[in-house]
Amino acid sequence: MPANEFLVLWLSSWAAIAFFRIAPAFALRGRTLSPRITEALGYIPPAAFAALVANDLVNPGAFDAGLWPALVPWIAATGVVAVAIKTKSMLWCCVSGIVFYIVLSLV
Amino acid sequence: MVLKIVRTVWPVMLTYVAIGAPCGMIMGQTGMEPWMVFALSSTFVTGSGQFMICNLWLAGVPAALIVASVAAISSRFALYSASIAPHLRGASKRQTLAVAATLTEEAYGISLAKLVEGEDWGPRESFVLNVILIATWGVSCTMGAIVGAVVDVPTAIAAFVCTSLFICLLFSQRLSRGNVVAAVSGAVSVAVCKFLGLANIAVPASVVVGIAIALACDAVFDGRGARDAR
Repeated sequence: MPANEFLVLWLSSWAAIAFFRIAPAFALRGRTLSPRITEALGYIPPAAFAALVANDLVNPGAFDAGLWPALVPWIAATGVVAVAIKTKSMLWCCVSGIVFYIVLSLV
Repeated sequence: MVLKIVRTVWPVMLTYVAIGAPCGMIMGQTGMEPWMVFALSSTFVTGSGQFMICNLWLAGVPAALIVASVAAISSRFALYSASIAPHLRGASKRQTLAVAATLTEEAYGISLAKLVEGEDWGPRESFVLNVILIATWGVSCTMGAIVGAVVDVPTAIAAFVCTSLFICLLFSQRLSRGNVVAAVSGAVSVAVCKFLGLANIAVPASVVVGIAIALACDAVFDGRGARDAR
């Protein structure tokens, strides 16, 4: 990654992240958000994480390489979902994800 | 004080090492130098944002859309910041800035619990906790990038680590009607965008779609509830 492109990406994204981290703490000292805004902000994490999972799993050209290679990430993801529901642990989800993916790829 | 906090937070530090190392490897595979990995991970301190930059960069997404996507996924920090603000009432502006600017998800959870319990815990302890976790994360990612340059890790397997992380974060959300609607709408919207050839804007656009549909759904059910009550 070229340094100048990295700097643009890093600094712009950092500015946005810093804004989200800092601004509410200062803006809301002694205030409370309206229920509607709190509700909308609360929907960001589930919508974003579901979109990211779908973005990784949905690939229009996945079946070009055959049925099984296209199904491997979906089956592995199903296994990780079970681990996530059971443990709620990022560590175990990552470990099980790698294991499921490797084992299914070897089948 | 540092030792006391380390004793509290060491399991989270271990998790950061386990997740940070593969995250650093993926960042290294996108062509980032170790100094870039350290700079980015010790300022972002958000695995999802870092994974997202790597994924979208490898997919050839324009920089402006990558920044917009990272901003969208990181907007959750606004919630954490908003909810911890009342507990920093006695803190000076400088202390508030220090705690808020270094907030991470896990540190937020621990700090909030300690502040609510009213234990021997204040903004100073929260800030030290944040710095310990940031340092752990930054060093772990950088070590991962350095090791990843020597050891060849298959991209598909390494990338699936981030899918697993997102699944964990998704299923850590509260199970409510609105959250389920937001998640399902967001996921379906991504699939529609990708099949329409709009992969570049799939994630940020789908987050907006998910929120809008969940709010609309709430409005419909709330309206129906009010009518039923009358």
